[in-house]
Amino acid sequence: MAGQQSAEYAAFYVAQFRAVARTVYLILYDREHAEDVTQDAFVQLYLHWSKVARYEAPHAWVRRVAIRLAVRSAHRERRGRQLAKLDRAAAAEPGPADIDLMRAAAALPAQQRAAVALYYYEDRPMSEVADLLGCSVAAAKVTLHRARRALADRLADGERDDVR
Amino acid sequence: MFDDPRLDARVRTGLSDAAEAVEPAVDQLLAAAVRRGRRRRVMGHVRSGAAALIVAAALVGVVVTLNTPGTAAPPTIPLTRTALIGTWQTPLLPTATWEATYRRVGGGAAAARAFVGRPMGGPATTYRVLLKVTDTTWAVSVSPDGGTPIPGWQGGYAFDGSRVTSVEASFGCRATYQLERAGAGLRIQVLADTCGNDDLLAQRTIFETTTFQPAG
Repeated sequence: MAGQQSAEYAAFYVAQFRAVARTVYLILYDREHAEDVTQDAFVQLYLHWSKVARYEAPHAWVRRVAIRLAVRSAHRERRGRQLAKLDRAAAAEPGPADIDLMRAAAALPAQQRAAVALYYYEDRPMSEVADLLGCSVAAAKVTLHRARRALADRLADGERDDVR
Repeated sequence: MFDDPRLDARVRTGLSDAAEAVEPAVDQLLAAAVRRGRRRRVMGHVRSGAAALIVAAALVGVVVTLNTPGTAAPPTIPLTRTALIGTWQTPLLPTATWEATYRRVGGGAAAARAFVGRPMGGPATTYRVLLKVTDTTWAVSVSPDGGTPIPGWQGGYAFDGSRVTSVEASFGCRATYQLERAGAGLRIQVLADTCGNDDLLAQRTIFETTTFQPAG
């Protein structure tokens, strides 16, 4: 990579990596794994930088790659393992985290986690959620609707358990 | 569609708190990303990638015999551009052979192990490197275990009869190779690489492990 391109890539990386890693975390619920997957996406960006840098929104390109990799990776990983990791992380780092919500979100299918992260955390309109998920707006709305119902049900179950 | 503002607020707050606790070591990760990117560019996980370096050598045109590492070089035979055009390939060689070359040319053991995995399109037990040379371009690909070749760098080149200078199209890396006939084959030595030592190690591994034979 030529000198100027390297500098531009480095500046972009520093500006965007953290934000992408945070969204990926909300799909994988495992910090180390999220960093690895985000890194894979940025290595792909490095390889395509001369082309992607000319795009109007290179951040959307790398975000889309990262989300795709994260969803694919999450499909491969058994959900029980993800929940166990989440519990270990919560135990190791007590803080203000809403662990019930985290458990409920981590139990969703990967595509639903991605939709929830993009809509609620990144605050994106449905058109952008759909674009980043690589589906139609209608399909993205259905995915998000199902996710939200599942979250509501699980959180309500948790509250009932607490009352008992 | 969303009719529970309390749930919405809880989800937004909860996800935001969880995500913002993620603080990756960006500077260290950037350096690692660049190292990985350079290695992969050499080997060709990217379709637009780096073949330039490799192909240069191949132009000679002949058909080849295969030399194993360490074999004494035969007398240099003049090359022609026409003779280089075509597709060249190494035999399928065990991963350990490529790994040994990486170490021989100066790479560390751990880096050598890493290089013969994903950067080569693996993991695999054997790899073959293919070089395709045309009038104006050269391209490299790697076939893990004899499977579908994974495309590598592509670029233009200049040939002066014994050396090829190749500039990779996407990133502008420039590499220089010394070419010579080795019987019916083609022997390639990597002389320089502007993309740094990681690239140089990778390229030397690709080109200097063995000679290339004409494919097909």
